[in-house]
Amino acid sequence: VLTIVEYIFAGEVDDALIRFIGLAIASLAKAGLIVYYFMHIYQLWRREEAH
Amino acid sequence: MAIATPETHATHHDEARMLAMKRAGLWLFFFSECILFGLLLTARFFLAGIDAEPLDQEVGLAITVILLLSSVTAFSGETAIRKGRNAAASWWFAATIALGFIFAAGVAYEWSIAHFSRSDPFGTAFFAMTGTHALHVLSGLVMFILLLPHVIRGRYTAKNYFAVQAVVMYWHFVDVVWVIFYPALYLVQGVD
Repeated sequence: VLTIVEYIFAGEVDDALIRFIGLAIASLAKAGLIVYYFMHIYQLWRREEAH
Repeated sequence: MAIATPETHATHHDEARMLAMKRAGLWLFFFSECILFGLLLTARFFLAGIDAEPLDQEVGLAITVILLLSSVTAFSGETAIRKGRNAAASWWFAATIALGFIFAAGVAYEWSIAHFSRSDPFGTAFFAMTGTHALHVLSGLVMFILLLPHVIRGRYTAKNYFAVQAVVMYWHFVDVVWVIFYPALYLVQGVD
């Protein structure tokens, strides 16, 4: 969904600086969601547990 | 009924420590890869500013959605292993491999229709970024292809699946890189 939002945002916003900042925020948010929910980065700080 | 002795407790503790060390090592590898991809991203803006040559936006959007979908299938495969459903995991990983190949084919197609040269500032950045990323996609595909027969044979269980988790995490990392590269290459100059 965020990718589609990014795509539409890039097409609608004419100001290059606002477009750059908006896309940077959206892409970092997406990367953060993947790192947290898919890559389980929180496991690095969790108590040890065996599989 | 199993009786917990000091020895079994110590073994379990050692396994847990080993797993934590493997995870930390994997993350250190990802951080080292971030330096490589960060340098490429920096070089892209240093060489071409926020300007970019026109690219096929439909292809860019399509391959991005395909790579994100492949992350979902990889995650579903890992979840299936954790729940002891190896047959389902095999199908999810097979789907991930198929989507990965479609992504790689999309990048190859984009290269074939690119009307700019690799000697242009943007062309240098574009081919270096997409080429390095595509090599990581291909290495991830090789890992999935090597993993799949073991998953089909039921080698991994809910208690022993770090190899699966490592390959899936690598795939997610490749996805994270593309999530940053896609707007930097395709969207930052605007979409007509």
